[in-house]
This record gives sequence, structure tokens and C-alpha cells, in this order.
Amino acid sequence: MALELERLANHAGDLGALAGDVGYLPTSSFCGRIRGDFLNMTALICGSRFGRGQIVPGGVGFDMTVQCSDILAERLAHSMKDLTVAANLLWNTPSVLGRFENAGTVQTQVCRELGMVGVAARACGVQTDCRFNFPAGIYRFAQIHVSTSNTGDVFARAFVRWLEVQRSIAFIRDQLEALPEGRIRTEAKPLSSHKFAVSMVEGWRGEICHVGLTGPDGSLCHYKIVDPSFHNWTGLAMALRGQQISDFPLCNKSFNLSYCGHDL
Amino acid sequence: MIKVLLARLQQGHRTICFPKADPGLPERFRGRPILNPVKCTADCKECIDRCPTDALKKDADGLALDLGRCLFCGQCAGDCSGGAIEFSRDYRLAARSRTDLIVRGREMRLAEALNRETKSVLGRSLKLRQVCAGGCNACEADTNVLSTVVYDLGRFGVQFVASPRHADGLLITDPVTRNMKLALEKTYDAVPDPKIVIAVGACAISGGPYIDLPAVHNGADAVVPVDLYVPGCPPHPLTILDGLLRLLGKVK
Repeated sequence: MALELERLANHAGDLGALAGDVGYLPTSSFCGRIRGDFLNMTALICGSRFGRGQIVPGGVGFDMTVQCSDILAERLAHSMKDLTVAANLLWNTPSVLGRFENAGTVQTQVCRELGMVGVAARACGVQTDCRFNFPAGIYRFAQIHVSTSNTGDVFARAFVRWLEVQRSIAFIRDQLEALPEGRIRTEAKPLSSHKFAVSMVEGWRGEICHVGLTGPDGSLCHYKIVDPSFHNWTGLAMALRGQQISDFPLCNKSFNLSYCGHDL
Repeated sequence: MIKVLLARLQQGHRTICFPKADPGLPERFRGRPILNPVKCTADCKECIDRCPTDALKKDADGLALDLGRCLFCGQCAGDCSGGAIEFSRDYRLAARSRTDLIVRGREMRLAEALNRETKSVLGRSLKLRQVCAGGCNACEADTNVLSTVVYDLGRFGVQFVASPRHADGLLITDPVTRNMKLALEKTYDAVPDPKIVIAVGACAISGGPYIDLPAVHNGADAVVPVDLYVPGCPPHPLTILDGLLRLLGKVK
């Protein structure tokens, strides 16, 4: 749920930022605020808008009380309504669609060859999603449909975000209905020696890969993180081929890659 | 057009009435920590050993918590069997000097306004240039939201600008990596006098979790003089807003 709330906050923010980049201020203004509403939902669970302290070795830091779950369900319903209105303005405004469609197109073949991931890859019609390809934890039982589009342009990247928003909200609602009983945390045992562990998580931008290696005494001797931005920067470069320079901010925003994360 | 107007009506008025209204912070929000020296056992060091950033220290005057290093993870409060540390929901944390960030009890000295001369120049219109000096972007994100309709920073006369030459000061986040040192120095030099510097977040104040790594300079004040420290990881937008308004003498 924490992961899906993070996705919701970022997708809402991105839809608003895309609207801002084509000068469509109503959605830009609404989504800037709705993004904060989702961050506040994370703070409702763990006290921090960025989920600090939420995930701890051996489990989670905070229990989801009945009261907390009720407030979350109510806030989700409100924000979904607000976001639906804000997003539908985009799809119903010809001047917005005029800028989104056929801007920054990446061909499916190019996407596959570059090994792009996440929203940008799904917008090219490539079915890649860690929640589906490498399901772990709850995703093994509650599957989320992979949202794709075929055109590979700014519109597709915006629309895939909107599809994912709807599915994430449905997922959280389902999970709130079926919260498991029991302890929230077990004592984490010391790390074993000479082990190699890989984790793949579908973050809001795409797959995030963590790799850890332990040494003879069980302490970490190497740790490497690959951010989805690492895979997608070249995709942005390809999206900009033959485009007007004035479309750069829009294309850039539609990928929304990490400047710090490109060389992790 | 009618759809836009209807949408505008549906979304409603969302700007908070700061600082008068109740901030509506969640129950589990971890704000200013409160230390109770009476409850602290003399020979217990549990919290000091487990603190990930060495924010806690014990000296002749008892237990002290450095907000400039604190990540507000709350582990110390959870571990303390005596209940000597608890986190309040008070979001007001900004201070003018590094020593004011050391909490020993219930109170802390919050930031005072700029001196009269600087305030007369910057008090009614403050333009800030944001410098991201190599961090995780959480502080930037929660600084950014001050420009949304919820916080509406513009109504207080504060705005972020796209060039240091248009700015009256810098708002620095992150630990200042080796690669960002020169850029930060150049940006500082490009801001015309009188200028102010605000360090936001544990990284920008002390280096945070990256403290003493060879790749970082342990925060902004290792490179430029700092006028306001806003602790947190990241600080809540209200903490940053409160700090800015205290500096300008708009909140006392």
C-alpha cells in the first residue's frame, strides 16, 4: 500500500506538471495539491510524507489501525474524485491533446532495444512491470493489471499514468478490506555470510533493482542500486530526435527521470 | 470553458490559513522531540548506540539531541524504556544558530527575525534560489510544495527564482557533495548583497546520514555562512514555511 500511495502521489504530480508544461493551469494547480493529499495519506500511516520509518528490517514500523484504515479509505475516495475531475479536463481539452499527441514518440522497437522500463516502456506497448513479471509479497495474490498504451508519445505516457492511478486506488481499497492480523514486525536476524541478494520493485518511475553482497562476517561488502532513470535517459534522447526544441520541457517531464539517479 | 469553471468550483478553496489555523498534522507526525532528563537513567546508553546519525550525546549536563543531525526516525523514543525521549507534534523547529538546535529539555530557541537593516531590504519581498547539492530530493520536493495552492508562498512575498542573480538568498538542501561545492560557491557569489542563506534538512545542516563520508562536505555551512537552519528529514512544508516567516519577522 505504501508503494501504491507513493505511485499515486507521483503520478498525480506528473499529470499536473505535464499540464503546466503545456500552459494548462487548472489541472496543474489542482494536481499540485492532490499530490500533497496522497503524501499526507502516507504521513497518516507513518507520520512522514515520504514514508520515513515505514519500512524497517523485519517488517513495518507502524500498524494500520481500524481508525487509520477508515480515514484512509475516505480520503482516497475524495482524492480520486478530485483527480478524476482534474485529469478529465486534460483528455477533454483539444489544445492540451494537440501538444501531447505525436510529441516525443519512441517506437516500440527502439524501446525494446534500449531496454526501457516503467511508465515510459509501457507507453510504447511493452508489457513490463515488476509487479507482474517478478511478483513478490502481496502482488503474488493480488495482481495489478499492466497498464499499457501503444503510441509511445507524451499522451501515452500521461495516459498510462492515469490508468495506473485508477488501478492503484482500486488495489489499496481492496487491501484495506482484507488487512491481515498478526504482528507487524519480527526481529531481523543478522545477515548470513557470502550471500548474494537481488530485489526488484516497481517504483512509480519503473523498476528499481537493489543488489547486496555479504562478506565472510555477514556484513555488506558491496551494495548497488540501479534506478529506472539509468535505463530511460537514452529513451528520452531518442524521443527528442527530430522534435522542436520547444517540446523539450514537455518530453522531459513526460519521462520525469532522476538527475541524481542516472549514474547510480 | 464551462467544464473548467465547474471543475474549479468542485475543487474548492484549499489554501491553509497559516499560521492561524490548526495545521492538521497527522497523529503519528514526529515533530520537535522533548527530552525529560529526570527519566533518563545515568548509565543507560541504548538510544545513543542505536541512533543512526549520532544525534544523541550525553555529557555533564545530561542527554542532548542535535536536531541538525536528527532524522526524526523515532527509534530512540521507541527504545527508551524510561520514556525520557518523546516526539511532540510541534512542527516549529527552525533556528538561527547551530547551537540552538541542541535540545536538552522541553523548549528550544526558535529562529529570530533578521536584523533591522536586512529586514528592511528583504522583509517584504524575498526571492530565493534553490540549490540541490547532491541528495535524495525529498527536501526539494517538500520545499517545492510551498508554491502550490495549499501553502501559497507568494502571499507572504517569498518566491523561488531561476537564477541567483535574480535572488536575495539561497535555500540549500543536501549534504554538498564534492562535485557540487564549486557550483554552490559560484551560486553564492552570484547573489547580490545583502544576501541570506537557508539550510533545509539534516543533510544540509550536518551531512545527515552521509556525515563524514569523503564524498560530502557535511552540509552548507562548511562552504557558505548560514542564516537559518530548518531541521528534518525532510522538514514538513509547514516547518520550512514557519522558518521563513520567522526569519522575516512575520511570525513571532
